Amino acid sequence: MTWQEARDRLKKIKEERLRRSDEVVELWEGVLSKNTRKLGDEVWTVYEQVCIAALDCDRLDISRNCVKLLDARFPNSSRVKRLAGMNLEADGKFDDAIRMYEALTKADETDTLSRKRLIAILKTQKKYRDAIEELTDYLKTFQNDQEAWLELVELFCHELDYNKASFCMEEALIHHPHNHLYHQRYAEIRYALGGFENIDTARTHFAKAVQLCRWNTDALYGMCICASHLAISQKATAQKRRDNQRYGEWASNQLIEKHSDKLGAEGRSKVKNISLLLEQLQV
Amino acid sequence: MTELLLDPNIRTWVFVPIVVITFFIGIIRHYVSILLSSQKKVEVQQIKDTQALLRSRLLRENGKYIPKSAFLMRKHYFNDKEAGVLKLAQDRAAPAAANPMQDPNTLQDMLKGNLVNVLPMIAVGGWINWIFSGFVTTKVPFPLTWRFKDMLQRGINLPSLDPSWVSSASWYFLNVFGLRQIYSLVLGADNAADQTKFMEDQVSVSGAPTDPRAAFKSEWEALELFEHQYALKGIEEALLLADKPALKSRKKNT
Amino acid sequence: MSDSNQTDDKLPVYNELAAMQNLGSLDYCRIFTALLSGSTAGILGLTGLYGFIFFFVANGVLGLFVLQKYSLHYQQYFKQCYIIFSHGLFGSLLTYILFWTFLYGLVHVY
Repeated sequence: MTWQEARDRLKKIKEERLRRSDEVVELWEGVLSKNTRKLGDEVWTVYEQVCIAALDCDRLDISRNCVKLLDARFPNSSRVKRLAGMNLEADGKFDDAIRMYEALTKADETDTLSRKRLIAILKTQKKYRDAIEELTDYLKTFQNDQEAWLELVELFCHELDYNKASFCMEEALIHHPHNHLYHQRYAEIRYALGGFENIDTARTHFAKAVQLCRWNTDALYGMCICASHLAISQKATAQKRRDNQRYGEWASNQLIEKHSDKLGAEGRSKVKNISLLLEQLQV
Repeated sequence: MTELLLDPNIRTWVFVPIVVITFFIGIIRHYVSILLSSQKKVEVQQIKDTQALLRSRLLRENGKYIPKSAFLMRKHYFNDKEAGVLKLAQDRAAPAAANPMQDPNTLQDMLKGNLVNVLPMIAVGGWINWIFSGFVTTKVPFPLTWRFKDMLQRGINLPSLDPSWVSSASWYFLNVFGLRQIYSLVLGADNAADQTKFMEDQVSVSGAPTDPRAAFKSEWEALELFEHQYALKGIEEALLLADKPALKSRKKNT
Repeated sequence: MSDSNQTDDKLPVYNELAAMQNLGSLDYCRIFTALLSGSTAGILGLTGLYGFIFFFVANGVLGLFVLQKYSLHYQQYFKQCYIIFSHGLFGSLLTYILFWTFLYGLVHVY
């Protein structure tokens, strides 16, 4: 591979935000490290990309070298300092890293990336409550950061605080209302909360997920379980129970159809048994 | 085709040089504005406000996909009479809507912008008019009305001359407008050599100080008036209905 | 040109970034068309109405080339058909006039 091809491949990985850290490190070691002069001014962005990829592959030798070179060229750059902080994290020196990130955020209050790295450290140290606090604080200012909302969903689910998790998931839904995975996740959280209304909402969102993606099996199973739960619930009216019965049947028929494409007659009967069991599931 | 015969020296020393001058001045303007551009420091409060506005707008656009209770919770967060984010922002934004001339930052930006964009255009236009005056530079290939004669033939006092024959100043201005798009080819999309974009900015900047307050107010009103219609209502029925033909065929097979 | 929409069951959902990138590429082509067709018009000595007709013809040809490249799939790249012909049309008009005048002057006036 020529150095131009390697450089173009790196650019493509960067633009499409692919996580191919081993490929990046390989390209660097094999081709680009010997041709740094030919890259000209582009070499600095390449160093940054390689540094992060090296950290991902636990190649601290490469990443430390990159940071050293970048620091020599751009002293006092917050971007380089952040990379240095990431190196400290990889070394396990969390307190030093925290101190560095706090200094960076103090210098520039709008520095989102340093704040996110701080939260990442707290998560690594399993200080979930602190991470939640920092992330909530961050989101008070940067209310439209979807990545942050999704991260908060994870943290709340970990702490089993499903109420707040569903709130955060709703934020993600507002940003991407046509993403079937978001509807499915939201429905799962609502189902975990339990209670008649929540399971009703859960079934609705599972249905939306199915509408957006026909063969989303998780959503179909979810719809099946919710509907069958509601079909025998005391709180539902007779009409609602009948409706839910129909929905549950439809969902399980979809599942049978999906799986029976691959199975023979014996397989089909097995799936039918499973769906019967599903309908009898009680929460 | 042509009634007049022009000295080829005009072509070599006026016609082509004006194109070259205009082009390079644009490029120089682009790089000078990069050098002079100040790092805009954004206030945290400003970020909060813009993000809140954006979130409120998204809420209005896509709120129908979340349950009513969730929507009402957020509406309360934004529009509550005492503590609503949009309400507080309105009250806060009022004092800032003062005279834009008093705000040192915008004033500085405007001056810098003027210096880099409008001044060179006027200066070079005037210089060209002074140096290359008194003769006709070129003929535009399309017919013009007599009213343009006065504008395009500065310095040439021939009442019987076709208005298609223009002076060097007007050739310069034609270049300025025509080369705008070429700059986007040469310098990439977001370049400072494109003057009209700058002039649009000027208009919006002078309007901006009063805008935040109006923006919050209009967002508040829009959110108040928005009616939440749960888009997912009856979705299961819709799914079953859509599947009816498949259901029939399934019944046939089983 | 990047793929612009993912089709739902009923609603098309647009990838805004891709749509803008496609329009940008179209603008790019349009500027080149203005440049070349303006120069051609100048060299040929077209005047008045013929020049303007030539401009619209050249842009029409550009639109046809773009359509032909994607034949029936143009919906994947542009929201509506007429956008291929109309986007950035009048912006490139001034560029066309400039090059038209320039080459006309160089070839026919001197």
